[in-house]
Amino acid sequence: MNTTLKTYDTNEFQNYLLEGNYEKCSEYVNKILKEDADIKFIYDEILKKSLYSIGEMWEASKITVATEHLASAIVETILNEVYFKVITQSKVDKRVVVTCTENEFHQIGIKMVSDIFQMNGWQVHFLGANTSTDELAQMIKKVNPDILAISLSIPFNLPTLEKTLDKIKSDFPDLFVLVGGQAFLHGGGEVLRKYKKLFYKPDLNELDNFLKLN
Amino acid sequence: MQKDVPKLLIEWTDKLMSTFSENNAFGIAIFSELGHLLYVNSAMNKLCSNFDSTCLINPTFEKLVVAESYDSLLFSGFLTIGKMNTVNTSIEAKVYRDEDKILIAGGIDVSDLIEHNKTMHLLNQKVTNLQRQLMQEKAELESTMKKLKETQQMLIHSEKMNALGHMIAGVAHEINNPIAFVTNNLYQLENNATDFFDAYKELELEIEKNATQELKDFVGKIRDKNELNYLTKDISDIINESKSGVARVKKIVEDLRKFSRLDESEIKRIDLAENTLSTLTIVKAELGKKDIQFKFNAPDKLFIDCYPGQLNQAILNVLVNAIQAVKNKGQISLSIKEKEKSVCIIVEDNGCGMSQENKAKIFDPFFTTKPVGSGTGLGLSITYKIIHDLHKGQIEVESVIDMGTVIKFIIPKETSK
Repeated sequence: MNTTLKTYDTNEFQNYLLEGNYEKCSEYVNKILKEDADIKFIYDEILKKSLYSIGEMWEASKITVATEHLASAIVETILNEVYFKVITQSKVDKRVVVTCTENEFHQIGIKMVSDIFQMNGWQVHFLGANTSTDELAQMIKKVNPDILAISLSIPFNLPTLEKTLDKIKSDFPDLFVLVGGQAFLHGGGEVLRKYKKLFYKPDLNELDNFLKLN
Repeated sequence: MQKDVPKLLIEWTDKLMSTFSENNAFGIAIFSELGHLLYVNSAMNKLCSNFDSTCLINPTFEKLVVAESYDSLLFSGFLTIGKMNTVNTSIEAKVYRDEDKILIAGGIDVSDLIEHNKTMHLLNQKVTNLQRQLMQEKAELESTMKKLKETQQMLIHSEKMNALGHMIAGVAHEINNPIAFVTNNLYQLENNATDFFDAYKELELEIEKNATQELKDFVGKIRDKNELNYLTKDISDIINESKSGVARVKKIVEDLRKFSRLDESEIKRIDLAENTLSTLTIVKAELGKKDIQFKFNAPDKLFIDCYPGQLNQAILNVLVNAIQAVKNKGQISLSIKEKEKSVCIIVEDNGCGMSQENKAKIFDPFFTTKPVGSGTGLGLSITYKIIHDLHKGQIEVESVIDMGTVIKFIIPKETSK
């Protein structure tokens, strides 16, 4: 892999997203893939950085929510376009439930997390956006996962995450929980510190290393 | 409070006007009664470029100017704006008349659009999730199909081997009977010949002792003419060689029967060295063709539980590969070592070896480095199944290009069903 040596102009990709130009976005990502970049690099360095930046533009009222939605829709389509690289035949006997909390509609982050687990051979149970705590608890009971992974994009949803964690940790005290997402860029650590067997993973690379070591 | 709103708004007229003039959602246009455009803001121009009175499609400007007014209001409702040959937009508008001027003001109700956008966004998420699920299921189906194809091919191969086994067993059985009477006859012939030679010797002695010179000369002539001294020795040699040949045929038939072991599809306790020797019979001719130096080393009376026929098949597959890998006068050894709870069967050759890349693939079904048509690529994958799956054993491979290959089967002495 030469991804660490080569740098890419993510502004170019971000501009295509803001224009709503799916074809150009797809062309850009496929070009990098052909240059032997791996999925983690594309997710962390291209897609995530661009979406974080677009999220900040929305917060700064420079773009409408519709533009942000369009950018998200394009990225989700791109995730599916490169998904064939994620599907692996080598499996390990481990299960993960990946989810967003209630009222959290941004599911791109957790989709990327889901893909990293899948690339490591895990059996992934994807619940996606806006999953109620009850629904989540039922799934955990049914699947009996080795790990629960939760992504949070909007800091505003931190109290909901806390409620979810209170319930899950009370029902399944031994369950390992991983959390991450844009919401933690500006804090939230104090919420996480109060739970045992809970780890914060700031990016996909750390998650990947964690999975390879455990 | 509500009544105060207009008054409050009037206080902000300048700011409101400035905002409206630049706004892209709320359109304002003022026409003269004759249809001359006096003012238009950017929103109207966005709805219909080069905005003029012809951009009012329904109702038209002509209809509006003749409409009856109530408190200066000429029209209230959806006003469609655009050009006949382009996409039109309906705005919720009011049209007023003030003396000879007509004011058109209105905007698009975007609440539906916002709601639709939200719904579309959620639907898009669901669609992409479903698409991934489909992609994953497709990949799983493809993988299952591949495995199915491999299994099908293995079954066909296994059927062929089974048929071959039946044939070997059948031939062995058919040969056994004639070999038995040939063996008996040979023994009878040997006895008869011995009796005959004894009688002949007696006769010779009698002639030597009591016959006339004339008779002695006559007998001597017949003896020399028919080379009776040579024949006497040769008949014995022929009988001995035939006995040894028949014994060899019997041994081969017995080995073939042991190799096919069709009656032993269940786990059986066997003498491993004896069982392996029957496999060597099968490859003996091939070893001879290349003048290969072959060594076999195994402890006696090493009993293990195994599927004998299948184990023979696995050893045969590896031996055949070793024979193909070595040059003429190459070396191959087959050794068996006993461990505490397992046995180790090692086939070593000094042949061409293989690359690390090929080494990683040798147990893949259909992988072969042999020319098209000369190998199915199934031999070692079947071997893997026999050792790994059937006997719960392990296979270790070491290979260096141009140096040779070592393949080890490590199987437990007691294989559970």
